[in-house]
Amino acid sequence: MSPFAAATRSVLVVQPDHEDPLDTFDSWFRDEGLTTKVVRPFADDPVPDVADAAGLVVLGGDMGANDDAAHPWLRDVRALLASAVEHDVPTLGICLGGQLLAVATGGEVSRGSHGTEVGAPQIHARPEVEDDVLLSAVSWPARFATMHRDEIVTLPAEAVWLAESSMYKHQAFRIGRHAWGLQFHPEVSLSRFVRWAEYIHDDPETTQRVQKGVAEFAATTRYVATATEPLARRFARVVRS
Amino acid sequence: MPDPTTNGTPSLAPVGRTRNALAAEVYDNLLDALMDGRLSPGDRLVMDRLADDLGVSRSPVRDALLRLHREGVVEPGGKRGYLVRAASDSDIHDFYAARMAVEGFAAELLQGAGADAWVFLRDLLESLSAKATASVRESFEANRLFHRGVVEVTGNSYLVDMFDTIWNRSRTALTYRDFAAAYPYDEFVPEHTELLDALERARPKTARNLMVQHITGGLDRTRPGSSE
Repeated sequence: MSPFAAATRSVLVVQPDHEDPLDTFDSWFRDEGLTTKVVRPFADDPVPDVADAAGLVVLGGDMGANDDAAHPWLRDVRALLASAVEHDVPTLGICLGGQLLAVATGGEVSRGSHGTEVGAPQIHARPEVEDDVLLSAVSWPARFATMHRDEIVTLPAEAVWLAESSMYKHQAFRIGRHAWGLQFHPEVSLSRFVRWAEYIHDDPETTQRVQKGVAEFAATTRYVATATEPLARRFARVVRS
Repeated sequence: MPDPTTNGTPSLAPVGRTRNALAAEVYDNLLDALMDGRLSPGDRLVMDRLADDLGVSRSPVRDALLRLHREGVVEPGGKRGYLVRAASDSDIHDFYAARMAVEGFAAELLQGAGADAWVFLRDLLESLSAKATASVRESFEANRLFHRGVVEVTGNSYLVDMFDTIWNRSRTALTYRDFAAAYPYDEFVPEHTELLDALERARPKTARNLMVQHITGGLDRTRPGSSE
């Protein structure tokens, strides 16, 4: 724990899917002096109020951001995200979490027009990253692990667009001062990513993409970590300050 | 809540594009113009005129020009302006020599990278093959992205940053035109496939030599005779 850390602060972590835990971010957050409270709405944990949390993380999941019929609690998570933005609680939405943040603040998510994006593609910063307190922690362009079918088609009107890939342009955005949505997965370990890949039984083209994507992440996993650790630590510092 | 970094005053930051973001955009615009030949060595860049043309204030233009000056792409010329620098033979030579240092060392480290690295690099080459023959500019990009991949699999972000610094500085009009005139981009895939085949079988020191020879081939095409 950093000697400069103030009193331990608790981050509220919403985990929508059994297979998408906080993973590598857990130890980096702890190292930065944060504790976490994990809420699993798929296991009937109620979604709490954001007011007591020093920060909020909403993780990924296999469902769509608008699948309220199958997962009624998604509505509560979106309301939680809107409330966090309103109260300027430092917030990080990862993959599905980022899509939920987009929908909660006026954006639009639907099935991706270019199919599944999977692997560790190069992500390019937009000029606005120069002034972004979180993403300026990373040396750009960077590689991040990614695995998603849906895309953020339209960003919320007030969003600052921060990063893009060659396949899907809305890779990162910020709402207000301290709420970020990321399409990629900075938290995922290679072993967890390989497990996800094993769940995908799709058309032959997607299967081939998944195989190539796993090799891409496996080959670049050390390089990817040089971007993900600074990102996690910077977010923790935003929460702490 | 106070900002965790010391620079900037977030509470005063306006909505929309800030000076830093605008400067980065002006910088990208100017580099694009250099790469596709709209700007040539010797052209004058006057701050006021650029600001008018781009529809921005002078501050971001000045920031972008200062950065290009630091990177050796432009040099001061005339009042409130800069000249696009012509790359000299020694610039070209130094670019290739710096590449040999960084990319040769990366090739030496490849043996420790594991089986996935070779799968990744072959997939990368395949995915870049269409780009490599699309246009000279795209071909330059394909070549850069493939060679960056070799450095990326070392996992050393300092080496990747050095690679980016070297390649960004190479994007002057003259280097690009040399590339356009001399690079046989229909040979992109076979040449790099051959390189990968050789690297995969090589011991570390041999791998370094193979990469240096490959890069020397580029120098020979750009400036015949200058590698001797």
